[in-house]
Amino acid sequence: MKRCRLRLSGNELVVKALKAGGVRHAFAVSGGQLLGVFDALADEPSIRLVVPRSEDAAITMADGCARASGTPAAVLTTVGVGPVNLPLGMAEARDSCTPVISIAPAPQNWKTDPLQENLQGCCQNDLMKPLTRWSVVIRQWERIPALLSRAFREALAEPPGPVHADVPFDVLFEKRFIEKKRFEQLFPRSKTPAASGRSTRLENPGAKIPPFRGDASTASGSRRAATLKKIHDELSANDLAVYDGVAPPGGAATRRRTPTGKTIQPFRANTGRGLPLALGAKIASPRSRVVLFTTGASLFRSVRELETARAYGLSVAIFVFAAERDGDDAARGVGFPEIAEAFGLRGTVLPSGKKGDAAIRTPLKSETASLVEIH
Amino acid sequence: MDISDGNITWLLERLGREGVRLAFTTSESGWISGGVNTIGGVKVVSAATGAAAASMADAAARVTRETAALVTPCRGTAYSMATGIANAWADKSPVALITLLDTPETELFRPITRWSAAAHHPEDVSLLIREALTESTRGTRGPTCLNIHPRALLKAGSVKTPERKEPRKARDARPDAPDPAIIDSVVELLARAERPLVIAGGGVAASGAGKELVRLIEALRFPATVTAGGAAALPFSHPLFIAGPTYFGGEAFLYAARRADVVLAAGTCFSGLEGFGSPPLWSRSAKIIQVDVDPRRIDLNRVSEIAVVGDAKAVFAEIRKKLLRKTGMPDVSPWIKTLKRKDIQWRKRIEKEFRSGIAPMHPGLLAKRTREVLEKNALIVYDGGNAAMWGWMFCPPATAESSIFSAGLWNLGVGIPMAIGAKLAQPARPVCGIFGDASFMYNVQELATAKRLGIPFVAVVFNDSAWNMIRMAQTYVFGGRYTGCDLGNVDYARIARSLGCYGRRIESPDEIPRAFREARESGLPAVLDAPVHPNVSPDPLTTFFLIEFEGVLPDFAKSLSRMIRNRNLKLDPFFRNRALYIMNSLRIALD
Repeated sequence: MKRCRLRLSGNELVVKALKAGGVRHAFAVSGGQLLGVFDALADEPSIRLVVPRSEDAAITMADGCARASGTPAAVLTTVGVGPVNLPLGMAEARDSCTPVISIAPAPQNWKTDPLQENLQGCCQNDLMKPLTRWSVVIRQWERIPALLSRAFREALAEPPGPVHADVPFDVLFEKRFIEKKRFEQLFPRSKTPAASGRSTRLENPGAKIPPFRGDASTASGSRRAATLKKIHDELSANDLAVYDGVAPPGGAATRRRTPTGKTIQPFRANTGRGLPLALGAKIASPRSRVVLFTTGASLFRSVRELETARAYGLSVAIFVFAAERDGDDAARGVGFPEIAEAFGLRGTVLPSGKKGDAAIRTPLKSETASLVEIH
Repeated sequence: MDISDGNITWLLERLGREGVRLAFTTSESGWISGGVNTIGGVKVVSAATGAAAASMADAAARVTRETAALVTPCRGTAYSMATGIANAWADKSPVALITLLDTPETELFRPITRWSAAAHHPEDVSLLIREALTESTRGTRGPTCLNIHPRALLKAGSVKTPERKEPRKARDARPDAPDPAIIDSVVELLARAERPLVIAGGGVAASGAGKELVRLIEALRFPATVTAGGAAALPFSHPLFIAGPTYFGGEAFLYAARRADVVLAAGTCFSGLEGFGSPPLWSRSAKIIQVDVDPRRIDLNRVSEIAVVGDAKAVFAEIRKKLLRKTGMPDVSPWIKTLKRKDIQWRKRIEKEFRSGIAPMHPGLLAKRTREVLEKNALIVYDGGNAAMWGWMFCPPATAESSIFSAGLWNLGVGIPMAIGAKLAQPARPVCGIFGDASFMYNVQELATAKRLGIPFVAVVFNDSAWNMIRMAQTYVFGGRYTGCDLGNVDYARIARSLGCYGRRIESPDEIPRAFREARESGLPAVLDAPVHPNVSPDPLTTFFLIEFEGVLPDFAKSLSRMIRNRNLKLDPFFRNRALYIMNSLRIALD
């Protein structure tokens, strides 16, 4: 009887495992050791590869994507420099209980434990342990499917959270023959998240925008609240609002609960996460309108990702409450409309009166990302 | 639990009394005004992000060789500082991270620091601060992490701490002088060398032993090179400097490493960028003399003939003293001439490409012209993949202690904050950054920080519209299937102008002198956005891939078949020269 055999590399196995886990979006910043995975992703049309301008944004875009879609998203980064750029975003995903699957190549097996001063070598698994629900080093080709399946189960177990897998890149580039029948048994057959025993969405689609908790700014709080209300009056149930450094308005400020869109907020005071969260959410829900409410200082921390918004044509409406938060002068004296235009996006300052109402509607209808600075 | 300004002032004064001169935080903390503040003798500066603040501290510590402090009360900021701390760990830079959190993050920082602790009680605070600073400069040096519980900090000021009579100095923790018998055997071995090579690593730079090393090689008349981490150790313009750092120095370095019979390796344990001290880069039969301050790093990658545990500066001085009494040292001038000839031949071959008139301009030509307009004492920050390689090849530092590069992690994006940190540490020196377009963007927001602080430097962006090291690997290893490597047409000069800085696009190499002049006259942080040809690859890229992919074979048959069928393949316009480099490298390795 003729036996059907496949020849697969570790890179291809990783991509198959991501597909089997229900990943539809991979956020990545490349490196030499990750190139095999990139190449395998080019053969896998069901997973969209998105390359932002930093690893720090990649993890948070994956976070935003997972929060908006309710399914796990992947973040792929290269040896050493990838994981050391992840802690803030990984902590955000951990604290917000988001199932992000992080995979990074590690140096060749024979150059680690202990490290031999390899270029980019560091104890990335140890670094990821306190930040993730589960972190593992996959040292053998044949264990890639089982351990990555376990990673998905860990990420989606209650409460969900991020997981990390290091794969030494000699394992990634290793090629082996495997019988087709045996190969099919390696991965869960059903579509995840059901495959992981969990199929609930991560956020309640009908979640109301929570009650107003007071704006971070005191000086212009009342005008800001009024502007926020006006913007929210334009939103609908299908919209997705991201708040970064700006508290969501609601009952107290507007005296009624207006729109019923989904909301995303960075956990604690992790300011600067808003833009990548919004971009990730937009990638997950291209038909939804994604609106980012942010302060100048918060936006400024991820300002480079305006370029990602331009490059991928992500039409996020960005409302920047430019007056600095108390004491935070990161963006003091910076004009955001000029910055937006330098990045090839639309940027305006919100005028007062009726012109202001029109200026609020313009970014909400725009086909490209656009920014409105509010004083 | 609110930490008051008084508590922060006490902490900074404490750091100042322990010898810290520069401290960095983020604007989130809201402690200090936008400019450079001096509190308790410590210059305090806030960056926009924790990652940038940590890289600023890292650069300041590298330049001054003294501990720079990082202080934050925000957990998120502490997380983002991990990037810079990891760089400091990989390059052994003395940075002390002080977090003021109610639950410490010591577990997170343990893998990337050499010491971490938590102060829960007021009476521990001062002593642990002292220990954190001392540990950062002990032995091989590196970052430390101390969490001070806010409750402990509130009362720490009322605890009496024994004062030091003098400020702490980084050299406090250096070991004793090396064993004279071992130094004798080193001198004996050096005296028998026919094709010697001295290679200085980060340990030499950290020890401030550069001048002593110059005296030593001049006494020996031996050729010398540096590692990527130790590039600050030697002036590249010295007549005995052959080429470097390591294989970025091209064929002369490859030849020297492969043919040397005795190698004096100081402050390095042959890391990945040095090819682990093994074939194919190095000769198996060469006798290695390893000098390192940390006994654990001896023979880590390459077994040495003689190992000297000690501070490089002290060891060089001892060797030189004994050499002065020694007669009959070999004349190795033919060996040096051969190496110099190899270097000139290799450089001439590439410089011939500069005259081809290709557009956009040749990246090597941009680097060369940049070097021509830079001051001799300019401090250069290298941040990029291919851009850094071109920078090392044609825009090297002219003097010692004039370069900064994230050699351990090769972490893209640390350049802008590092330029700021370096300029803060040495305000009188001109600072220039060599950036790739991808790496430039990582911390672009800090251009506004530089403007706010009044820190001018010039950033030259090698704009090839791609993650180009990756793109080239996709060309030659994956048959030209380009995935996730394009960056599009971004106007970095305009972005700089929108952040209040000077920005100018350079289309031709002839514009470089004028652009530099205008940039300096502006008194602002300046960005010169120079489009470069995306397909011209630096020769050392091949060596880099060979070493990094050691033992891992990509599917060359698949790659070749794709290349043949690929009509969009972007081959190097000077492919013949690249092939010649590979042939010469093979000839050197196989001979």
